[in-house]
This record gives sequence, C-alpha cells and structure tokens, in this order.
Amino acid sequence: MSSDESLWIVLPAGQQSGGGWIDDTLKQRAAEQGLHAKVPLAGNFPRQRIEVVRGPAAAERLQELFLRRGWSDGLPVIPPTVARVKEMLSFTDRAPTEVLGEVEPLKGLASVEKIAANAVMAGCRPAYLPVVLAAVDGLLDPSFNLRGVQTTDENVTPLLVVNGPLASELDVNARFGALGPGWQANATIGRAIRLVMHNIGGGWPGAVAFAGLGQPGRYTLCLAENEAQSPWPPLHVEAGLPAGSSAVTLTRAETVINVTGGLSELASVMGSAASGFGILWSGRPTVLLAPAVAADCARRGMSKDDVRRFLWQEGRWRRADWQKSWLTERILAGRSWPEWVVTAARDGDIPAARQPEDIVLVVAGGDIPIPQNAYCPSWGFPPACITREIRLPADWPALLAEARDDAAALVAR
Amino acid sequence: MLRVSAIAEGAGVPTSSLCCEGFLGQAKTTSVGLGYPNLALATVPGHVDVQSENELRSNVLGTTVDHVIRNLTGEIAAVQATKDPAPDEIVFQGSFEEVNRLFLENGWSDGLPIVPPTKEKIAAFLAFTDLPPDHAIGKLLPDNRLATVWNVAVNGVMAGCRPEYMPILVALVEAMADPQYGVEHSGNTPGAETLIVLNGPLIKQLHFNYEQGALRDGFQANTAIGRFWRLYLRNVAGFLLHQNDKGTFGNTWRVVLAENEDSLAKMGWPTVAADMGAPPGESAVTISRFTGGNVIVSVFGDSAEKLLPYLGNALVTHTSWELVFTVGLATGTYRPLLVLSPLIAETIARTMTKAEAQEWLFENARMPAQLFEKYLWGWTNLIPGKRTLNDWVRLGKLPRVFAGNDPNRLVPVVTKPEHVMIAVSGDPLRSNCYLFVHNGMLGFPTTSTVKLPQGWRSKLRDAQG
Repeated sequence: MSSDESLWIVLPAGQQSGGGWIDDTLKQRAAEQGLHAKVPLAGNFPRQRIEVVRGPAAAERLQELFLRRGWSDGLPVIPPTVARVKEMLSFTDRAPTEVLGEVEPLKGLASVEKIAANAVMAGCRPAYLPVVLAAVDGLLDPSFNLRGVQTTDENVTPLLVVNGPLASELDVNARFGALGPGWQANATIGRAIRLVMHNIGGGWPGAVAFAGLGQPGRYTLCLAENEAQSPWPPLHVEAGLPAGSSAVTLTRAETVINVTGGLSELASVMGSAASGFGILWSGRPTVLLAPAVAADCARRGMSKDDVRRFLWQEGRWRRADWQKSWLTERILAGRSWPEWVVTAARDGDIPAARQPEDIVLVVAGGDIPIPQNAYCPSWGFPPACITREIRLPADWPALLAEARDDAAALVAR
Repeated sequence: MLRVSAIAEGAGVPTSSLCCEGFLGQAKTTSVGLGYPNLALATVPGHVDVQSENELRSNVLGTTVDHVIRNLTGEIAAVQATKDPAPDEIVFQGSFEEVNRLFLENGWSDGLPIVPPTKEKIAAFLAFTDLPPDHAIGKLLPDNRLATVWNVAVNGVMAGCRPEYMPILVALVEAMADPQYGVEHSGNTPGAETLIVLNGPLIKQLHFNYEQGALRDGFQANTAIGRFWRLYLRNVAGFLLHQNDKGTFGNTWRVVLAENEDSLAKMGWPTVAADMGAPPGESAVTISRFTGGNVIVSVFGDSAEKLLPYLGNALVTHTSWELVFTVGLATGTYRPLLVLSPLIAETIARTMTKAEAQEWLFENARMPAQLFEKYLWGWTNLIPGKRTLNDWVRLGKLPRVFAGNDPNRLVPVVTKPEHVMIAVSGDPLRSNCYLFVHNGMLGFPTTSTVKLPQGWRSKLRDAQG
C-alpha cells in the first residue's frame, strides 16, 4: 500500500494469447443473459498488468469494483496487491511470465503471476502457491476437459486431493471436517482454483457456465488424504510417484454424497441413478473412505483393489431402473449407451464404472465408530484422475519457516 | 537459430530448436516477436562450452532428445502475448511518483525516473518533424514492433530529451531499423553497447559537448539522447534483461560522441559521417556497437611517426576474439574506432591525411598469425574447422597479406586500411586517445542523415528561448 492508501494491484483477469481480454466476451454474454445489472462494470478496467485503486477506502472500493466487474465468487476477496503477489511468487522458482496453458473455455492464459493474483484473492497463504500451480497444471490437462466442466449443465467441479508430506506441512486437513469448514488450506486452495477458472477461464455462472444448480463444492473442494490412518498406499503412489513426494490429484465431482456405514452402504448409493451421468461417459468416480472402514477392510485382508472390486461388483444400478431411466428415455434418444454398459445390462445390473480400477479410492475424514464416507459421482468424457507432483522452490524449508515466524510475530505483537 | 525455425515453421515444417538452459527465457520471448510465440524448444542442460564430450552426450541423450521427440510429436503449448495500448491511449493518470512506479512495474523504464510522456510533451516533440506521427520508420526485432514517429517522441520525452532533439532521434531510429546495422543482435552475450557519433551543424546548434569529457554524462544533449537509445531498444525493439537481452555483463548506455569539427576543418580531415558517405553540410548520426574500449594515455611525440606506434599497439593489444569479424564469422566487418584528441590528431595531420594514418596502422598494427588463430578457434570455439589464415587466403576469403606458413609472421587485424575508423573529439589540449573495439556485423556502422523540419531556425529559437 502506498502512502496515500492507493492499492497497486495485479489484474486477475484472463488475457488471451492474441492479447485480447476475455472480459470483452463475458460482458457480451452477461448482457445477453440479462446479467448486466449484476456486473455493470464487466470489461471496464485498464487493459494493463497493474491497476491503481485509489483511496480513501481503497480496499472497500476494490471489493465493489471486483463484484461489479464480475471478478468474484461472491465472497469478499483479499486485494491482489503487487506486494502480496510478489511475496507469493517468492514461493516458486517459476518465472512470473511462464504460462501453464490456456484456461478454457475463453482461453485466458494462466501465467504464474495471474495464478498467484487469484490465489491471493482466494486468501491463500504464499506457501500454498506450489500446490495451486500443480493443481492448475492438472486442471489444464486436456483429459480434464475443462471446457466441458466449465460450460456443462451438470454441477461438476474439480475435487482436489493433496498427498505427501506437504499436506501436513501446509496443514491441509485430512481428518475431522476435511471437507470443511475451518482449515485455511482446504478453504483457499480450492477457492484459488475456482477463481482461476472464473477469472482467467471465464466460467461465469449464468453467462458462460450453465450448471443447473451449481454446488457448494464450487467454492472449494479440497482435502488431503488421511495417509496416517490409511492401511494402503496413498493415491499419488498409486499414480506412480515416489513415496515421500507430494502431489495433488484432480478428479471431477458431480457432488459429494454422504454415506454413513461401510462398503455395502457405499455400494448401495453407487448403484443408483446418482451414477447415471458418470456411467454414460465412462467416468471415474471418487470414493472417500472413512478410516474406520479402511481399517476394517484391511483387517479382513482386503487391498485397495479388493475394495474397488467389491464396490464395482456390488454397487450396481438395477437394470430395470436403468432401462426406464430419464437418461435412457430422454438423453439417449437415437444414440446408445457405451458398449460396456450394454454388455453389463445383457448379463444383469450395471456397475458404477467401466472397470474396478476406474474407481478412485481415498481414505479421508476422522476416525469415528459411526463412519462417514462420501461418494462423488463422476461427470463427462474422458475418464479423468490427474496427479501432478508439487514442485517446490530450492529454499523451501527456509521460506516456510520464515513465513511461519512472520505470522507468529504478527500475533505476538 | 530461432529465426531459422520461424522461417521453417512459416513453410509448414515442424521445428524443434536446441537451446542451452540459460537461454530458454530469451528464446521464449524472442519467438513471440518472430510471430511464432510457441516455437518448440529442446533444452540442452547447462552450457555446451564447458562440458566434456561425455557430459554433453549424457545431457543430450538424457534430456534433449526427449524434448525433440516431444516437440515434433506433442501438443504445442500456448504462451503469453502482449497487446500494446493504442498509441494515443492514456494508460495512466497519477502523480509523478505513481507514473514512475507504474512504468517500472511494467518494465518500461531503465530504473531512473522518466519524464511522464504526456500528450502535451509528445506534441512539442512532434512539432520538430515534418513526418506524420503514424509514419512507420521500420519494424524492429525481437518484438517485431513498429518504430513510429509517435513512439520515438514518447521515448524521447521519457529520456529527458528536449523537443528540438527530435530530428536526431528520428535519424537514430532510421539507422537502428536499417538491416545493415542488425538491431536484432542487440541482446547477444558479449553485451556490446552502441556508440552514437554525431556530425554536422547540429553539434553546435544543440549545444553538444565535443571537447573535454566528450564521453562523460553532464551535457543534456549528449546524455539524454544516449539514454533515449537504450530506452528505445527496451520499449520498442524489446530488449529487456533476463528476457531478450542476454548480455553477460553489458554496460551502461553511452552518451553521444560529437566530433570536433573545428579541428577536423583545420586539418582538412573528413568527418566520420563523410567517411560513411553522408552529404556534406548536413548533420548525420553514425551508430555502431562496441564491445569495449580503453583510454590510451599520454601519447608522446612530436610527429606522426612517433605517435602512431603507441596507437597501433593499442589496436593490436585490445583486439582479441573480435577477430572473428575480421575473418570467419563475418569476414571483413571488424571496424574498430580510434578517437583522437585534437592535439594528437593535429600533430599527425602535419604530415599525414586521415587515409595515410589508416594506411600506416594497417601496415604496422599487426599480430603473430598463431595468436590470431588462437582467438578464432584455439582459446575459443567460435570458428569451427580450425582453418588457418593461410587456408582462408587459399579459399579466396582473405587478402594475400594474411598468407604464409610461418606461424609467427605478422598479420593485420582488419582486412582493409579504412576499416580502422578515426574520429576526433575530447579535450583539445590533452594527449590522450581512446580506442573502441568493435562488434562486427552485430551492430555494423550505419549512418543516417538528420532531416530538419520546415522552419527549423525559428522553431529552434523558440524552443531555446
């Protein structure tokens, strides 16, 4: 902040490779959808890297400006000041100008600096940047089909699972309340990804994104795997990364359905119309397994693969229900279900995924005798479970220690 | 190399450009300017110059080959392009300090405060040219941005120039855009810096220093125009450190060197501009890039014969790897510049013309052939093939004067006498000289005459009044 209380901010909005700003398209789309009153200042900002928001009350003014320009998920944001963005950029060795890729559907370029600006807005601590960058990198993997995720009528959102030592270093919650609220890392890393999708990719609800209802997971959906209470190899090791490395994994979650109980209860929820859209596109659903259930399975000698096979075998959508389902009657008119679905229906009921290996299994949550599991049905094509190793800067331990000391000093004062 | 890849891509041939690790940033920014912002790069770890054959082999097999395969078969990444504000767009309104902060944040400044380029100030500069503001002077690599009269004025204001310098600024950018100069090389690793030599009546009309301290900052015209040059290279051509400017060390921009034309007239010696073919009576700028230089102090003697050996020795001892521009890399483009103080020049001129002094230096400023060859390919790896000077002569690429089999025979450092440029400036009554060592075709001497606007005299009177 400068002496006159002006805020020097890094613009969070998406700029395309040709130099154009996605906000020009968004302004038009919003007007067409009758959203002009919501975002009357869409596209109205200096077309530069940096803007000066002047006082008095610059911080409050910035909130109003960002809301009216459409740069918001509805919650207040932390002003992405040049100083905060620079501080955050010190937590990566990547150049601020490095571009991770185009964010669909409007193809704003995700430069490291723009991502950092959005992460600051989301309330991330600077040290979260390496996780956010790895997650954006995964988000931009063509197999994530971000264009579809952003524009579909379904309520799908990225589900982020953090693995490895970094999860505890950054206090990404894996246990009681892992899906929130209460943990800064879970709350803000997921939100940063949403803001990247919103501000750089242009996934404005009702203007470009036409999800029927949306879901609270679209604010944030991020947790760590409860590796300490898991009897099995963690998710990133299954993906081929070395144990001891840290990683973030992205799947696409239509929603999070709570399932109290064990494998049979999970199977019963999976074998229902909840899995319909995932089945239609041969997607990869995610199961968050309570530690108590995992321990119980392990006691009975079940491996992760055994659990997957059980869920695949037992969690089946009844053929009769499938046959008269809305999807079969309304969506598929003139087309057909995937070959594996037709084959399964010939012999009986339909599994929630094409093959057992397609079920993504994560141990998460608190260790309680009344186990709380969750089923996250999948969405769309192609099948996606994308793991990215988190790249840390060379002087990570020192940076992290310094950041902790600084935070502690603020309170001590 | 990237320029070749861009040509190949233009012809529809996929490319993968090999790039030493330290040059990746430059390559990425350069390719944006070439119009192919995502030219595929294959990394060679470290720098090949200091690797053993085994190290190089394992680096190439371990990394580079994978990159080449990925580049030629994989998806091409998107990269950041920048869109410039429209020329007359007001990009910012704020205090002097705020403008300067914004310009620094955006990389539009050299680190010193700039004069905010307001429309009023730009208009004052535009009044000093008859060219329209949107007149395109040329297109400058690496950013491939148009050099226009408007952006010349903008950078002139920023650098602290006066409006009446505008005709010189336009002439400078004309020279910069001349293909013979080779502005695209301005970011190469030797980090040579341009020297601007000014000739003609404008030296006195605009109060340039051409006497004591001629190469020191302190006179507005010399200083501000020197700074303009570097700002223009940054803001229009696109040479930014850690991006497109890979000068290993570089050095600060040089102030304009104005010749002492009174002394030249007295001796009957041609000016640098006249040597370059500029019409007499007009003002002209000559730009050329020099890797370094040194003062030759206390040149002692009362005749040309006594003064020239010291100068010739300086020419030989200060020339080393730059000999690749005499032979090999761009044969015959080495153009060192000797600046004589009027005192020394006039003593030589008692018995010699400028051409005769150049002839003397060509005949006498010589080095052993084996040392010459060490600079080309012994101590450096600049010229492949380990050809001797004699080989080059036999190939018809070098004059006979370089021929012979005795490794200790003496050979000149330039291919023609007139390639040693001579200027006269500096303290008129001190016996010191200066030698600039040249960067060959990578910033070749280029002259541009200064066109004055209608009503120059009265406009100048008003501006200086």
